[in-house]
Amino acid sequence: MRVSGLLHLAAVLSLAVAVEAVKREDFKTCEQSAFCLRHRRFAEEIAQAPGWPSGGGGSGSGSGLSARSASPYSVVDGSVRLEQHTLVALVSHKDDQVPLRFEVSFLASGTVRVRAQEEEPLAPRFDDTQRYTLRDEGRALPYALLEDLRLTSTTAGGAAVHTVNYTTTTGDGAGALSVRITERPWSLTLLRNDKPAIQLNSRGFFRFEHLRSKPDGDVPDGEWEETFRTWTDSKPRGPESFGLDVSFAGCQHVYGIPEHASPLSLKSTRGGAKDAYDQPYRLYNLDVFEYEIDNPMALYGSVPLMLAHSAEATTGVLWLNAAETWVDVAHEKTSTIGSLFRREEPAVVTHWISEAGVMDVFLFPGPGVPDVYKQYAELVEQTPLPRDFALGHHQSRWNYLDEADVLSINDRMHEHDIPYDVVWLDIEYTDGKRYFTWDAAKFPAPAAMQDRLARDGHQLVVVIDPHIKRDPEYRVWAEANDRGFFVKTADGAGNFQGWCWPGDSAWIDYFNPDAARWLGEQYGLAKFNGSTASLFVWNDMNEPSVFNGPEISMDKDLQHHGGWEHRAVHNLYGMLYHQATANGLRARQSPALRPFVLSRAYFAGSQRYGAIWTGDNAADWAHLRASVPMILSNNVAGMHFAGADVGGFFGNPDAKLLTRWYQLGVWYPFFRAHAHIDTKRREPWLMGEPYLTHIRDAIRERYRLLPYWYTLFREASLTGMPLVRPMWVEFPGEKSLFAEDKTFMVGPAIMVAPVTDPDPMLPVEVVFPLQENWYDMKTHEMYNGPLTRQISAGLGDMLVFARGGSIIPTRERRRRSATLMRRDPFTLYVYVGRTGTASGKLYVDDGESYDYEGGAFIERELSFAKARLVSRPSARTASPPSAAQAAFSKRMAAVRIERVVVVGLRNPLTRATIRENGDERTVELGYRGAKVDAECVIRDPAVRIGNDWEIVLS
Amino acid sequence: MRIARVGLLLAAAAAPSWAVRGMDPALAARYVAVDGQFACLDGSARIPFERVNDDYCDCADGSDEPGTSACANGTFYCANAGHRPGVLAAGRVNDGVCDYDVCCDGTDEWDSGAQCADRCGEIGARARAHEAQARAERAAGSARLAALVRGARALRARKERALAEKQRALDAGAATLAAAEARRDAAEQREQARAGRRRDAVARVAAARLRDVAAYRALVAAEARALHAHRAALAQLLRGVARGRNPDFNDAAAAAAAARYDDLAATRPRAVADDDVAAAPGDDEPADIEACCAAASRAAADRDAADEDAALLLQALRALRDGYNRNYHDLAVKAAVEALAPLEADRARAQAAAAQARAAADFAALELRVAEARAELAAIAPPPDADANDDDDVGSDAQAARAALWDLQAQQRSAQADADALRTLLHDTDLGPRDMYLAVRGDCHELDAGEYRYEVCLLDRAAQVETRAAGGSPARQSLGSFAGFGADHTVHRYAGGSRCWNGPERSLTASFVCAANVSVLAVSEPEKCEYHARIAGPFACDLPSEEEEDAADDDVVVMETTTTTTTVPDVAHDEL
Repeated sequence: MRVSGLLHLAAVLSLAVAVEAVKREDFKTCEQSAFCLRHRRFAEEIAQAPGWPSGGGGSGSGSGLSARSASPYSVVDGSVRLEQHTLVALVSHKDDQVPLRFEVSFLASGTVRVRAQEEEPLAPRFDDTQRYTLRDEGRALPYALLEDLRLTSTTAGGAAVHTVNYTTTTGDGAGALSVRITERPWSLTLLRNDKPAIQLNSRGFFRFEHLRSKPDGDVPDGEWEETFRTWTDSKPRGPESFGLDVSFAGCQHVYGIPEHASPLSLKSTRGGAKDAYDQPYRLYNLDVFEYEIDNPMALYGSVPLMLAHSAEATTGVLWLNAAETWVDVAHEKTSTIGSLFRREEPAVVTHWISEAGVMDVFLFPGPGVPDVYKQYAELVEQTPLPRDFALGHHQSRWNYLDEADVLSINDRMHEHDIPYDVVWLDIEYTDGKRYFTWDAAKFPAPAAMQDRLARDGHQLVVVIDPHIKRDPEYRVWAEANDRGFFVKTADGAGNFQGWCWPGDSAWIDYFNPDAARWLGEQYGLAKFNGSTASLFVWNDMNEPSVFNGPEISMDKDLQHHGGWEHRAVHNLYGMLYHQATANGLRARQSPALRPFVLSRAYFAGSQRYGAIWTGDNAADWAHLRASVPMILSNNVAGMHFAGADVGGFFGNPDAKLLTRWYQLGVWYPFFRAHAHIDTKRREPWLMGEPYLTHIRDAIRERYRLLPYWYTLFREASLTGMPLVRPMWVEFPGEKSLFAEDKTFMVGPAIMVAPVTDPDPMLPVEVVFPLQENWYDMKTHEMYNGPLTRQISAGLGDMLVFARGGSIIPTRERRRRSATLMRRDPFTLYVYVGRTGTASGKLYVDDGESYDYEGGAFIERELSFAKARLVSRPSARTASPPSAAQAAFSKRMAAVRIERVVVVGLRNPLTRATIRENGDERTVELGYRGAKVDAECVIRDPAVRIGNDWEIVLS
Repeated sequence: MRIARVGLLLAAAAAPSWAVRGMDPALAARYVAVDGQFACLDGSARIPFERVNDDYCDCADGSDEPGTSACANGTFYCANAGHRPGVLAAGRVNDGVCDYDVCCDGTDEWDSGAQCADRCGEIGARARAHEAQARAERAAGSARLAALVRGARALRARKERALAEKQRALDAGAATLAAAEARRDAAEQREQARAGRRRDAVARVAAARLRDVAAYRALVAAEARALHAHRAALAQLLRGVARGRNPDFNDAAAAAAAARYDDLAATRPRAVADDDVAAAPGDDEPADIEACCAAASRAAADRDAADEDAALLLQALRALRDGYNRNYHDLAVKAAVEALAPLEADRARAQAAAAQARAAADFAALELRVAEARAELAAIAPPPDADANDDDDVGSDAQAARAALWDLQAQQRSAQADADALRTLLHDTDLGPRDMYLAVRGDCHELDAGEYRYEVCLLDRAAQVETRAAGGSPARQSLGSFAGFGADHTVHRYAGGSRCWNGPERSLTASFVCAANVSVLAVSEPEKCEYHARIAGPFACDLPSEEEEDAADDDVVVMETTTTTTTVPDVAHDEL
């Protein structure tokens, strides 16, 4: 804002406080990040067009197999050889003598890994991202056996081409995969059934800045020093960035690379398409105040995983790099030489640019969505099973003032019959923002307060941030300081000092394993005064946020353990902190109980340590809408346990917006209401009626469906599949749904169409896909897909539909918290599909320990066909049962199915015969709900959840 | 028809053997099998009696499961022998939690594994003691309130008498005023005759000199006005920093600027006065040469002072601009720094214009001629009221008459204001039911809450005072002035307090709970700058009716036994 003249002074003063928008100037554009600009310009030169791929003929428009780019990089003659599971090649630029060593490795699952760096780098490049991200630190990846790989080399059109054919254990494509490497210029294509799926450097954008000595005299701008606003990055290592184009042939949609407040299907950032961004998507964890919607700016977390999808196949790419990374995306039509005529085939071309580290790229061939997640999860692991309470309703505010305030939230929740599990404390509970301490005036007896909450099954979460107040009297600072655990200045001589909530602070360096362990120890119940086993943790500000640093973060030339620059590790910092906390909580009890830690910053692998959320959103309808694609994108990228602040962090939602937000928020995997300190209080009972009732109803629906959610988490923990799913994940052949990001699926069985408009009369367009029945979960009204309907939703209504053919487990007793439901009976809903069948799963364990790893769980496959409902043990249930499993089954022996509701029966039936443990008994059937006469209720079959049983309707 | 009292489906030793678990004994007659059937209490269905408390919900109203958690809308009755019975929501039955606050007998957890011993003896005794204490407190509070309203009745009568007295004095004062006015008129007539002679001499000087003096005055006044505006603009910038900056940022330059502002406010209040522009010399041309000369002198002095002030303010703002930390994004500091450059440019333009105006008027020569005019005027005898010792007593006679009249007028105005205020208080102010707040209005009560001390002056104002001021006087924030009652007379609203940084004006809502003596129990800030106070005091106690009160004068015991009848405050107010 620029205002001059005295007359405007008053306006300046009043407007200055009213402005609410991201301060764009605080954050870099690609043009302000020298390496990004260098690579982007290079790409334009290669494509011979500014803002490729606007065409203009030349090499840019042909990326088919036989087309050649203008890339100056080629494979060194005779350097290609196969060693074990790895194909090695040297690649060099035509104008220099610095060969790059390429390693192309093959995993048994079909995944291809491509690594590149100088054959003999002047100094080591940071290569530990794999250690922090990959399963078992990446030491024992399931590589393919040499005998499964066949290398053939040919010459085509004067250029040597090497092809590796290999077999895979994934999907239906065994034996159909191959990787083709062209020597001059180099390019790599992953083919399925001889059709290109993923191509590297087909556009020739590959550019690798080898490490070099600083030249005497003038150096190019931005290579050895770079200034942004008032901060100067000393860049002692000089330029070391690299970029690569990755193309997805036959695809029109790519997804993932969170976190951005942008649509699910990534938009073009190149090529001048209508509605395109002019900046690449940026991956650099940042604390962005009041972020903008529909913008590729970097936000709090980064997961460099991208999925590409077409009706034929799904593939993926993991760009394993934790330095600042930019990704350009262009959707284009590519001409391919067909048998007789040219035809247009779409492709998405992406250009990945990272500032430091080694190039390490994983290509996931799919071909199905579950295959891609299997391939990703075998590398980066799945989301573990959370504590049961973590799936409940979380109530937070910056800040609940004191013990009385916290307990009054608890009491009001009970008084208004709103189930909830966790109440949260933001930074003000501490003694002067010294984490691990309590403000003694406001929280004189925190343990007693937690015990009071725990009596009714409630937990407390407190925020613990990574900045440590510089105060010699503060034990945590003094200990970390004595042991040298802080991040160091650029010269390595002293501790980096910056500003955050407590004022002058230092930051623990989690790259030092001793420091990470020490931080974990601070969570010991004896160490953290006032903590109990029902206290859990929220790690905020871990991008890291530094108020007086460049882009509100750390200077890139700061030194971490091992002498590595912050530049190379930035995006890992938040995850390592998250990990240290989760490990600390896990270690505070023996036997260990599952931790719960929420983090704001994240990276690929953070899903292993807890939940994340979309940071500081705002109380407006646009942010409500944006939460869906943001959470879906996170789920697409394996960050399953994700949520957005219900109600919006900044600003005051009106009662209507808040109601709608709860109605959507109960379908977020992580469901927390939170608010900024400047906002009005907005706990549900403050909204009055009818809002309170609507909000309570929505929250009760969440609790009713907790068994379904928990079962979904179980599946995700084994398969890596998202919890909340874009429509295309469930309907991979329905092209019209590929960009859909308003409606989404919760697991395979529930479709949610959020109401995100203030006008309740404005109908929501709901697409019921496939030849399947869909049932309104509240009224059980049936919709026959494929069908598009405009549905108006009254303020009390959620548009949520069960997919025909599903069996959904619920618990319908009204308890105060999830943990008080552990012994409750279940109600099964059988939504009969068009073929008269349905199936589902039910998973139950103790909700807190790791005993399930030893088999202490009940997992049932439920199926309904020919009017017969059967419960069988899952394939993962050991037979005969392990001791742990038997013990757990005994513990759950009293837990029964109290009701089965069968929806969508065509013929009225009157009797149910129940067979369990050789017994047979009969119960009558009731019908309820005058409107829908096809809703049949089996009254109290009383079958035990751990038993095999069947119910036959006649 | 066979009627059977069915025994317990599930054993529970604590309940009478004939009861259905969790059933309200008042409904016992409904929980009997009629032809083996149970009729849901809402009449919606009849079910086999063995389905009562079989842990499956059959009745729409939940009445078939009084002893289990099966019905979402069910309730569980606990007898709580030794205390009063309780009714628990069905969802809290057998959830593993001993809900002693409702079921002190622990009967709600009969099948959850939770061991809930019967604690009704202890809980009941504690509750009875607590209730007795509360009853005593309420009785004492009511007695105190009764005393207050009794006192208020007498106080109102006294004040009404005082008001009548004041009104009588005002009427008498009006007559005295009229006499004094007549005396003044006579004296002034005599004075005017004498003044005529002097006027002629001055008029001669005016004829020759007035144009020069007026031109000089206009020039100086214009310069002074420009400087006033400049100073005011600078002061506003600095004030914006001093009041608006976020002290948490610890920006040394911003802190210095704020300190400089406070310093100037203390030592040169005019430099930072926010109505300063209005105080600048006007452009009204005095036709009287003597007034014109005096105005010129004032304007010159004013201009010089404003110039000095402006220089000091500018110095402070420049130091801020050069020294502030941009990383904090302190909106107040940024606003001031951004506005400074345009202001400096404006000032440079104004200075150039002033220099041009001086040149055009040949200022040096003009100044000389004005000095001559001053000398000529000085040679003429001073005006009669200039010197009280003048031997010509005609002027001082008129002066004395005017002074006497002014004194009388001032007295009369003050008496009128007093009477008006009293009348407003007595006739147009809501003082609560039966004037309960009349005697205590303006009484201040404090709470020391560690970091802050809170001060609530009833029906007047509220404030927050820092207790641990690091040197200097403790910061004091107004939490508002009394702005009326809330839902009833036990809720007081104070609004329009000092504005928060980046937030609203502070306000406080005080809610009273019944007690004999007034004390502030707790103050919290559940939302930024919106304070809530809980105050004990008799105003929230039951107000005995006037008849009761009369009776109470004779027999205190009567009042204690009748406190159960609630007196609705509004009704009591209407009775007044």
